[in-house]
Amino acid sequence: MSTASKLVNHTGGTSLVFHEHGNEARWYDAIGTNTRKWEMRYGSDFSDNIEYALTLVGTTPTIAQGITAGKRAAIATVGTNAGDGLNMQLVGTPFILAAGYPLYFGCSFAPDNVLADWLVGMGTLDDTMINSSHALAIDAEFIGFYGIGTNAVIAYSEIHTDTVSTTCAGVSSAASHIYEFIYDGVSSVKFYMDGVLEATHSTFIPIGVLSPSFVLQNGSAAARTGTIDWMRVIQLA
Amino acid sequence: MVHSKYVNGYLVYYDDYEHRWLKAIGPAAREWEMRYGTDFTTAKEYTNTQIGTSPTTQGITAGIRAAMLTTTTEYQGAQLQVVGTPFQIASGKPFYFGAKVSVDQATESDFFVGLAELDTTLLATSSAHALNHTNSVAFFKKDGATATLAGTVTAGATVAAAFTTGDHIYEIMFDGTAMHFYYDASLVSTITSGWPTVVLSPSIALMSGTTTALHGLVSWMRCIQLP
Repeated sequence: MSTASKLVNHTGGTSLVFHEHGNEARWYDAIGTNTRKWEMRYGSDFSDNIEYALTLVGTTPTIAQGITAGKRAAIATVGTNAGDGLNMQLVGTPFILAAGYPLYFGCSFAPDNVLADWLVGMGTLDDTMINSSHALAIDAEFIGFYGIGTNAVIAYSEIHTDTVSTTCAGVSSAASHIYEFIYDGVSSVKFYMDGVLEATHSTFIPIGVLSPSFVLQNGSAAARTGTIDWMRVIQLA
Repeated sequence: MVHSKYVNGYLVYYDDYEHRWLKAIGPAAREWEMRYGTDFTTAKEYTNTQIGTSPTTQGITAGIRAAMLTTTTEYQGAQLQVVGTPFQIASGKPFYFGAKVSVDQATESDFFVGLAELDTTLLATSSAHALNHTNSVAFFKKDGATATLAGTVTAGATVAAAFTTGDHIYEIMFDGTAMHFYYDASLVSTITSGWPTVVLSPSIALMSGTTTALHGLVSWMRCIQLP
């Protein structure tokens, strides 16, 4: 694996995008005057409403800096009731999928068991994206991936109950998987799991301001843990 | 279009304008950039000084890194300075400072953006609208006027274009010998002496000039210096 670069045209000009060699859909970084970048950083402050807005369900779920090398966040649901867990969103809503502004989202995430409810992507501010009944419960808008208590992975986009979902060929496991999507800056979003194109959605793509979002909850009556290797958003503007 | 060049042996990426530095790569490049997801709690990343209740928060509008809000009282407002003073102008050490900011009141506002010494009242908080510190290189606009000054505390050149409520880009490029000030990419002033030699911090301040609350939105703000 090595790094390559390309120039990408967009409304604000032309930016230099660094991506995985041989995989133009996995962006690492971009350089441009007004490039909008966010990346979960090593040393994040996970106190509520500092960098992230946290909604905790059940007995004091926790999120902390990674102890294991390479991990940026370690999540523990702690409680043993189904639905216990944590809903996390970056404070502020610094991104919007608007024509002319291509965007990349990526996250490498590992649950300790497929019997978890989880979600990664970008959403409008929403403190209950998955409810305690193991159902997706998006208030307004979301785009990304989720799994509900099984190893099935769903690529998903929603605007106010209008939804598009695709069951991925890839399945989750108790290991790191990479979930990514790229908005082309025109009309469609391509979803990738572990580098494999799983879906292309061109309807019900969110139009509101969005925040990088993450959920991990118990998918059964047992506490779960999870780790985030990395999570980033890059938008050319 | 992004280009690159070598300066002092460092790889510098810049935009269409050679003065608009975006990133520098090298063993001791000094880079700071306001980030999305910033912690604006005072003394964490910034000394966040509020004159009155004038909070700075993460942007809700897409593309905005910081949203500054003043009270509705004259001489009250928000001020941010990066904790520490990581930059110092020195001969032979080029640096770039740039910020894209909008303020929603053109006339009834005090506005300051640039590099300054640590001072919790960069702008005067009573009596008369004015700078209230000694050492900085920056852009400054005083309440009651739409003229923007670019330079040091004691010597500011007037920017020809009047201050307006839209987004504007304020940039300072020190080439190691002379210091150039750019407003919306146009060169407005060059000085060859008179800049401060003390340590400086990226700084921005916004203060109400009347009974209207002001909003300042920072799209981006960065500083790069080569050793």
